[in-house]
Amino acid sequence: MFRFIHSSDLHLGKPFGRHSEDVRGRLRQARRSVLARLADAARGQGAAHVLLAGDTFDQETPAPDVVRQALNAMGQADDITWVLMPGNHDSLAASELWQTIARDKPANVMLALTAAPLALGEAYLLPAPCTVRNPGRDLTVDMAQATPQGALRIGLGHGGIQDFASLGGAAAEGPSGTIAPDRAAQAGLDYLALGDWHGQIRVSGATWYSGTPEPDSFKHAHSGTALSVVLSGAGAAADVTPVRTGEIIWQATALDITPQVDSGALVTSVLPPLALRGNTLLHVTARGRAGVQQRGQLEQALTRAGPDFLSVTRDLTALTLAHDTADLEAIDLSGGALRQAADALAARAQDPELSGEDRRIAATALSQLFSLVAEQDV
Amino acid sequence: MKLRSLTLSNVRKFAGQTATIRDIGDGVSVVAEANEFGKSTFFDALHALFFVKYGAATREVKALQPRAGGPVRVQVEVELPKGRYTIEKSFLSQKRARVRDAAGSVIALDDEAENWIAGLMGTGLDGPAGLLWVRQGITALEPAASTGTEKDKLLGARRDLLSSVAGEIDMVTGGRRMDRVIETAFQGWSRLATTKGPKTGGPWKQAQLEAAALAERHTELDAACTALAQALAARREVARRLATLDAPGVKEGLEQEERHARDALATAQAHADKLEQAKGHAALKRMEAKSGQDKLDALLAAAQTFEHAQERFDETYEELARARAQRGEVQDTYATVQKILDAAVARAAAARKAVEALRQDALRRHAQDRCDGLKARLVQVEEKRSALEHAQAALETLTVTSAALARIESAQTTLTTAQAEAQAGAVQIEVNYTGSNRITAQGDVIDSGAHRVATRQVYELPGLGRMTIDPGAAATDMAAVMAAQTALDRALHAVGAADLDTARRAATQRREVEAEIALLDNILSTIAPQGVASIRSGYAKAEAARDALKAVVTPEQTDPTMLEHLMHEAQKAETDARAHHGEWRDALDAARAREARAQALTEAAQQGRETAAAAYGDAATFDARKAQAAREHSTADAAASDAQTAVEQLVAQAPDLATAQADLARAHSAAQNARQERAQLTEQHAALSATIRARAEDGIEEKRDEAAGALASARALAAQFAHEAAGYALLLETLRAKRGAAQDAYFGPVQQELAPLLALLHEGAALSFDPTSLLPSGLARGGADEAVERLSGGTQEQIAILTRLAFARLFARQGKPMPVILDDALVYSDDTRIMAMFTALHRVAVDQQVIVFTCRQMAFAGLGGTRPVVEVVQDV
Repeated sequence: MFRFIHSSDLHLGKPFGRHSEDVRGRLRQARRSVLARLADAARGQGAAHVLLAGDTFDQETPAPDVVRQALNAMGQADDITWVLMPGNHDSLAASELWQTIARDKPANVMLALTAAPLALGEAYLLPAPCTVRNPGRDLTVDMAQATPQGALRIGLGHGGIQDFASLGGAAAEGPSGTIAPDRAAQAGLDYLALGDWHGQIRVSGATWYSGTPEPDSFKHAHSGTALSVVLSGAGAAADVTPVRTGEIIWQATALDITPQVDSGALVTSVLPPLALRGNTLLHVTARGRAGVQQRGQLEQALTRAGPDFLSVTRDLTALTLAHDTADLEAIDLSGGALRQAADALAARAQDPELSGEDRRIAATALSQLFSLVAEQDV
Repeated sequence: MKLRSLTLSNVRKFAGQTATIRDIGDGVSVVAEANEFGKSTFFDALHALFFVKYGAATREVKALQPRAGGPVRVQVEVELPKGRYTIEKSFLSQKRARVRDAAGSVIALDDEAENWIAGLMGTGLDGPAGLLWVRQGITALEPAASTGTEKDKLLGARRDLLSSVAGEIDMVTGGRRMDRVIETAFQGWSRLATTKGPKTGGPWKQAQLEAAALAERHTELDAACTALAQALAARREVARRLATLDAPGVKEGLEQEERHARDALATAQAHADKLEQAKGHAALKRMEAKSGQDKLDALLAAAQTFEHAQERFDETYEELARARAQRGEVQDTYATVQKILDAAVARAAAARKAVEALRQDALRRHAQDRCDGLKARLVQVEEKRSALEHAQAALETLTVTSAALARIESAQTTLTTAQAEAQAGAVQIEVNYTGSNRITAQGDVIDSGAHRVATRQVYELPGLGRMTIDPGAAATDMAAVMAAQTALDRALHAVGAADLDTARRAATQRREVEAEIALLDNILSTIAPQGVASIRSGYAKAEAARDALKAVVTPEQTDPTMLEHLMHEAQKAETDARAHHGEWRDALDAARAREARAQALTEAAQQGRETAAAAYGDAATFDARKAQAAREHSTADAAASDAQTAVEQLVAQAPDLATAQADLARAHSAAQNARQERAQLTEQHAALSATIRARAEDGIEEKRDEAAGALASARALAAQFAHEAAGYALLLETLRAKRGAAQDAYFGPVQQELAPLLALLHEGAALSFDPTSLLPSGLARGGADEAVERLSGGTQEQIAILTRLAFARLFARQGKPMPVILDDALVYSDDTRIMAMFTALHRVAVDQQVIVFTCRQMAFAGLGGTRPVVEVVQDV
């Protein structure tokens, strides 16, 4: 029986430039500490090996501290054997990186820099390291090479499988690659550990994408995990169990608003438990139509919840302003100039003759008017 | 409401009196009274009746009380749609307020009367009065001296009036709420932007600047990353190439190849040297063989040449003989032709000579004729010339010209005249001697007889003395006679005539000679227009031409036609003979040329034969010499053949030297290139590694990705600010536009009423109103906007009154017509403007009561209108 942890796409050194400095710091720190959590996960599962299927580093030339600290973390977990394989972000073309790693790595770190089989105790690893960022061909073809009779055969690859979108779900948005989806069967592998896709996906019983152990975007719902793999013997089905390793939660929530919906309550309903909010980045996308007050309630609810979270971002561009007579009368019951201005802006916001941008500006102006009037009336 | 009468009792200057203004009609009513009449008293009393409570003791009421005190009573008769009423108030004493109907019945008393009055005046006290009743000295709509309370009341009145027509201004325009919203929106916009774009120092500008800075930084980092990637790729390539060069056996193989190539070249070089020597030997043998061949060939050639030269000589000699024979024949024929030609030439010459002789003869006869003619003319000319000379000579002797004769005749005439005058005036003495003494004058004895004394004369009278006779004028006459005589004598003397008759005969003669001279001149100018010299010259030339024509012998044939024919025949024969002669001359020339060529060729052939004979040598020894040369040639030829065979053998065995050289060069260059390339690649690799390390340690990829993310966020933020600013801008624009339109709509009714009135004074002008004070703020005319306060006093006064009239019209439209009362208004208006104002008053007075109090009876005479009755009676 052979146990190991399958992970990939750590992307150590990812800068997260879009976020504020504080959030960047937390995200980077979470990434740095993921190696320790992987080691813990391995120990928890009784595994002595952690296989990283590419993209351990985010750039071909990461900062020296990123490389050094990663190697240190691996070295500190000296009860674990780490296997590093180049992915497309840290391909073999990053010669300087791999020279440095080869020079500075601790003893418990193995490098899979060629397609030659690597012995891992009772198993043999058949790696397919990325030679360049875009190889353009299926590097896993070499996995068919022979290994000693009866040995477990574990493939380690990086890239997209052919017909990736057929996997459905989030994969429907992913690009198709070059790796044969039945490579495990073709090459007689007991397990094929793949990297590149940041979400965890089961391709087949013997072929998995582990996903990134520490989420890095709102894109993948199933990330922040590693896979605990148990191979009971050559030819036996792999026993794969997801293991939670992520520290930061990236929650993307879409809200469908209609004029009848209590937007504030809706926001409250989708918020995670309070205990988790401090480690959560929340992104709310609102769609539909909302009246002035509804929109105000929505924004107020998000604003109120904001300090609970690591960050809260919102996208309300798909939320159109719905206003009715009551809203307009709240501005000006008498039909005077204020009301006329509101009517004019409302008409402009719906005018098909105008460009989309002009209509949005008119909608914004109308929202501003509502807000200013509301402020005056307070 | 319309006022019909106004009665004051014991009010101010009407103490103890009752003053009444009655029969106030519709339209314009004018109360024109002098100063101090009490017009303002009426105004104040009317105001107090309507707007001061009967129980009040305000300053306004007290001001109505006369010094003597007592109750102040005011009564006004009003006409309402429902009838006529009389309103009475008594102030300060016997306080009372009462309203009676037309029948005189009291319908309201005291407080009820006040309520009735308040209801009559509409909402708010003082409103209409403040707007429509112009107190003396008040020209503006809002008097400058108004207190804050008064201003508020007036504002309220205006607002009430305008709002009653157009609605509450705040409701229409949004009022302060609108103002605050605009202000807040403006603050929101101005926080972000200015009219020129993002506000410097504002968040939008800051976001833009930050985005720009991030973009620049990202560009720099991206470039550095690109360079890094390129360096990495380059180093990979360099490493691959080095690995290739350093592959096992590559270097040794190149060096061994170079050695082999060098050995091969040396072998080839040695063989080439040997071959070169063999070639040289073979060449020498060939030269010897060739020399023998040349010698043999020379002998054979000499024999052949001699044979050919002999043959050539024989041919040319035969040709020479033929050419000579031909030349002889042609020459004989040519001589014959020459004789024929000579004969033809002679005959033609003779014919021409005969023709020429005949022509010469004719020319000579003609020349002679010409000479004879010229000679005759010349003789004639000489005769005439001689005659002319004689005449001219004779003329020289005839000196009495016509002019001289005229002078003589004139002098004679003058003398005759003088004599006559002297005769008439002369002193005449007659001397008759009786004794022996004789009278002398200047020693001259005076004879007996009459003597005229023309000048002063002194006579000696012997024995008596002296007698002087001075004729005076007579002397003068005599002097004139003397002078005339002298002149006549001079004139005659000048021409040599003794007297006038002689002079006349001489003059006549002269004229005849002159006529003859003129005739001769005319003849000469006809026959010799260019002078006799010309005729002489022509005659001399004719003689010379005649003499030049020699006398010729007249030919036998004198018919010119026949002579011409004979001459042409002879000339034709000559021409033919010449042509024939020419042909035979050419033939002779050709024959001679042929002979000459043959001669030259024969001589050349002779020489050639002699030269060939010299080369050929002795014919007896020729064969022996030829055999010897053949033997020598054969021996040399065999040696050359052997040498050549040796060379060919060496050539067949020779390695390719060029190939060996090329191979060595290739192997050497390959090895050298490999060494150089290795060195270069090693150097490149080191340099690239240094560059990569330096860049890699900077973590520039991470920085670039971070900058990219930050840039995207900054741009999104800037776009968000831009959108927000655009929203505010649109909001401000919309709010201001709607507010402006609302204000325009609010003031619409008063503008509508004011426009025709204003046009009476200012064509095309428009008045703008301040939305806060509801007062006119500006006058637009002639394309310029002027603030009301900057207008002249007269214009402001007029605008204020027109505005009041417009307000009055608004009251009327509401169904609450109020009279307009003007107390000594239009004080600043000029004559033209005041008339326009009068027209405005009448325009309004069509359905509006206008009451005008004025002390300017003359100025307001143009106003027209009705004149109410004014009575003042003493109270009993």
